[in-house]
Amino acid sequence: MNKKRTQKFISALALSVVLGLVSLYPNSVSAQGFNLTVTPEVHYMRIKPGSKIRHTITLENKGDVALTVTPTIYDFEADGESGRAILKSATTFPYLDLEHIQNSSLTIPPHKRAQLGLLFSVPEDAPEKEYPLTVLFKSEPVQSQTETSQSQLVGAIGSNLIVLISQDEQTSDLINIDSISIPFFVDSFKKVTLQPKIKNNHFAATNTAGTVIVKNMFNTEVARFNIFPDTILGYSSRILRALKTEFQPDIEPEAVPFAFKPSFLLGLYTVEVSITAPYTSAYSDEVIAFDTFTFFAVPIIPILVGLLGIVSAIGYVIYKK
Amino acid sequence: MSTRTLTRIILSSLCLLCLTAFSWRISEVQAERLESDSYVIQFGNFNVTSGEKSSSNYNVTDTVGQTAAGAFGEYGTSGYFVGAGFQYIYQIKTFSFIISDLTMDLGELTDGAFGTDNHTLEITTRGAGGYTIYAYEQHPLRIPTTSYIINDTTCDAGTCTTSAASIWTNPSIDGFGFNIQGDDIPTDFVNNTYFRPFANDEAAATMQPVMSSSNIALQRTSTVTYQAAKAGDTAAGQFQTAVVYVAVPGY
Repeated sequence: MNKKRTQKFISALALSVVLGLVSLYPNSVSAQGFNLTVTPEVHYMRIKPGSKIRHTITLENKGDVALTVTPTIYDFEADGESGRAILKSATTFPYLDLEHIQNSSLTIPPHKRAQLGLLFSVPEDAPEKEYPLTVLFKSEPVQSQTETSQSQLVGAIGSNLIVLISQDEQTSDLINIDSISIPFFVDSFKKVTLQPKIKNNHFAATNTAGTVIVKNMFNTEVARFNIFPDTILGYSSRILRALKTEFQPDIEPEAVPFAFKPSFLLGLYTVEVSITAPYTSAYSDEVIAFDTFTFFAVPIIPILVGLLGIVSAIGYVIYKK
Repeated sequence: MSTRTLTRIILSSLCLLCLTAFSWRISEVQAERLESDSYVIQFGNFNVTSGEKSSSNYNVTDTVGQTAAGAFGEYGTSGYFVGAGFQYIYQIKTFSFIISDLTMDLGELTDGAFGTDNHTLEITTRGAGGYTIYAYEQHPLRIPTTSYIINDTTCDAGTCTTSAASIWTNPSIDGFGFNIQGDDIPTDFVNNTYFRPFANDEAAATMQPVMSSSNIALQRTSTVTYQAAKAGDTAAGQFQTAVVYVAVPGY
């Protein structure tokens, strides 16, 4: 009995020793990855000439190994259709100490945060202009550990910053509705998709708002959409998206395509695109651009089948003669 | 005191010591996690604004944590403005990018056999502008400090490019390229036999999107597979390069 008790005691001790050793020397063998979060991901900022302002970007290393990152600033441009930022090779932004920024590499320990403060210094005579920028944080390659062929991977994560140098608030009413990308003939039985594309001819970014309404030849509404409040940068274009539900300030909106599928369409239809001032403007009902487009719905497949039948019948008659 | 009792005391003490070490380890980890919704840890020279002072001619103001009132943010004596129309409501968002591994081991490349490895990319953004992940290589696979390279792949039919994938299943055709499968990938990666070469930064090639979406993305994930093959007349050795993945949010 005493022997059994002793054996149990020793087993418990051995287990404790093992647990203790494991806790003191945890297994550190794990794949070294890149796990970085940046805040904010996009920020819009207007700076009055003659002012200084500091903007802060926060990085969080959510991985289990330290990361060394170096910040670099790039200009970006719109792709002309969506909100994709296309990075250029460098930046022309004149109101930041770029050399100081790009010499500020940092090693962020695992599960820690760090911040980069950008000090913008804008002179009194700075011209009014918009600068879309991306602050890119790029890691360094890890040291080679193997004796075989390999590829090192480097991660880089960006934070977009649209800086407007302007004394006053800028609201753009210089909007053109270019097209809606729909063929003139559409099938009566198929889903109808619209892609209204608009151009902002002002130097400052603006948000879109308004409606897209489809009416038949009797002026009856067959579809109505609210426009999703996308941002269109200065002197750029963007394809509009529809707002899934009514705009509500406290609920994050969802963008969907302009598409509808009625049971049957026939005849001439009109698409009315009406751009209004942004949802959060004091004059949100003011129409700043309006245009109409038309399309004709026909049952294409039945007509084709019918035509084929007629041609076949004529051919048969000729053959018989 | 009997020997048995003494043994028990010693063993109990050792047991207690191990358990204590275990609990210390937990506490140590907890103490390192200094988290708060409003705190900031600043590191040395990463804070480029250190030493700045205000004067009668200007005020330095900070955009962090500012909330905007009304359509276009706060006005006042300060020289700043935060937000632009609708965007101010949801502008404080995080953008997250994960690469599961930072070293792709292609093994010892031999004639007539592929060397492969893979990793995942994961992205999260709550911005309605979506995201894009670009990729490029610093240079072709190369034995360091030599001129021996493995050319970027052109695939079986010699038709794949940095923007158009095609089938590469023949290991006798040398090259280096990648395949990607998963969420938000380009449509030319039809299946896992379709490969592209990376854009070569050394040749000033334009980096190419490998994942993108124009909408909110929650933990969108893809798997990137690297493939390399060496021709018979290529020197043996450790070929290396670096591949860069650039994650950029939309707007």
